[in-house]
Amino acid sequence: METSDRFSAREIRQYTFRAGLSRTEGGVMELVSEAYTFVLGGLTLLTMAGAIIVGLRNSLGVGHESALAATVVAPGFHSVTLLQASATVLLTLAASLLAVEMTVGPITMTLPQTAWWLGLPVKRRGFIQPGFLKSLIWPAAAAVVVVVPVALGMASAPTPGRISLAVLCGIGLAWLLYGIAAWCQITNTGSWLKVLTGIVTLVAPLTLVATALYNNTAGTGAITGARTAWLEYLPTSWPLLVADGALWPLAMVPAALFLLGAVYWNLERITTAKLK
Amino acid sequence: MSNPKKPSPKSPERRKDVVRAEKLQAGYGTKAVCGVVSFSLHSGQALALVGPNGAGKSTVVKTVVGQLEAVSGTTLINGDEVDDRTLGFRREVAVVFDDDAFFPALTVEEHLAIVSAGHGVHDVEDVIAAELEFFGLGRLAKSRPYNLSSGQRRRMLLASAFVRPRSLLVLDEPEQRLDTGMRHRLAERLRAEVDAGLALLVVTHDPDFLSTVATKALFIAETIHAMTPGQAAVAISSENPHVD
Repeated sequence: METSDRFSAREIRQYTFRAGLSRTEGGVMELVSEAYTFVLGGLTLLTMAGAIIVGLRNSLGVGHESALAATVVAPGFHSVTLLQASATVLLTLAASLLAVEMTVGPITMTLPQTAWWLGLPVKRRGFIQPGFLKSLIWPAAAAVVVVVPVALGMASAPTPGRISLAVLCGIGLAWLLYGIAAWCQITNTGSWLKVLTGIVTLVAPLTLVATALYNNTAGTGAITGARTAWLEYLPTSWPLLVADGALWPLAMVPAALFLLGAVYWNLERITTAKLK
Repeated sequence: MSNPKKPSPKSPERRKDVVRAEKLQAGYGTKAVCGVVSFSLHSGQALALVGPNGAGKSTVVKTVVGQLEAVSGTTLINGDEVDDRTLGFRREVAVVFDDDAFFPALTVEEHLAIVSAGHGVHDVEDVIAAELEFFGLGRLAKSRPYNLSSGQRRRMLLASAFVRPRSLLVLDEPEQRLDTGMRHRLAERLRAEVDAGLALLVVTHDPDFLSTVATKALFIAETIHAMTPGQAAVAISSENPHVD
């Protein structure tokens, strides 16, 4: 069978896209449907998260007297600081996000793409790269959806500028987690990390329950804040520190970009098995 | 494209191993699904893997072509450890599993054009037209895959392996969902290609297909047995008397 210069991955991708686009069914309508689902899903998540935070603020009676160390005490009962609650939520979400990414693999392609593109003898970067870049949207959107309501719910009532920086830090955190999972996917390593994140996802919420049950401050003064202060120094809580005035946690953003850069340059190393 | 029905062997050393599996154990993670298997496959040979459902035949084949990690052991293809990330591997090895995955907006011929163009085949349109004709899909060239019957989609998948060059062809139960006539034509075609130097690794449950195409066979179960195609045909007939 005679062969000559092959098409590039980019040309094949464009051919596939244009051939589909030339038909109403499965072309433009598919794009519109995808965008509609994306926007609607994001708005729904944001609305739900905001409603939950507002509800929590009201029910916990969060005031303006202090920032992260503010103690939220149900009258006469056990205490949980706002810091601990927020830090635990962020830690749990981050661990579960990483666990899911480690399981499914953050760099993905659709089944038809893996079936019809990956077997071709062309440089595969052109096939993998668009999905990789597109999939960065999801952790960024998740960071916005989580950090904005949590920052709005803080007792210190951060300014819009501070909230923006906190969101930036949150995006850095989400991309760092994404980068770690992607690096593990590319190098076929890190099975221990999947186990660890699974354990953290399960255990982190239990610390909140344990504190509420056994750290009774009624009549003895607030001690919970001191005992749980270390939580704010976990990287998962750094967006909260930014919202509260610190800038150093923003170092997470260049670190995440560096890791994503390393992933980007090594995209060709990923095997078909790891993309399926 | 000169003659799509006669791929030439990759190298003048016709008897060189195209596939060599050494103490290979296939499975998922650390759990093996069948016994340890060692075999070699030269150009001009067709190795059939037979055995009961769930014995691990497809798992072995997927491991051989690097779509699954081996529990233990190694596979060499054309002397190199299996790595589907290399251009050489993808240039030489054509694989057809039963993946019912298609671009919903693309037609049958557009799917095949992706494969042909990706392999830099000359006269793409002529090659595709010939294969569509062979697989009885000529009048369905402009149809979308999800408008086809499952048997027609199967033919399309098989056609995708023939619109490109190959020195090793790997098929997982190619007889599935094909009518008797198509099975027979496919078996004859494969026989001719093997005679012309193709190395064929095939999983099959069809005794007729086995006796027409295979030059040797492995019975896959908890332990692996090497057999002649005739012995394997008898073995699978007794395993599955309802194979039509």
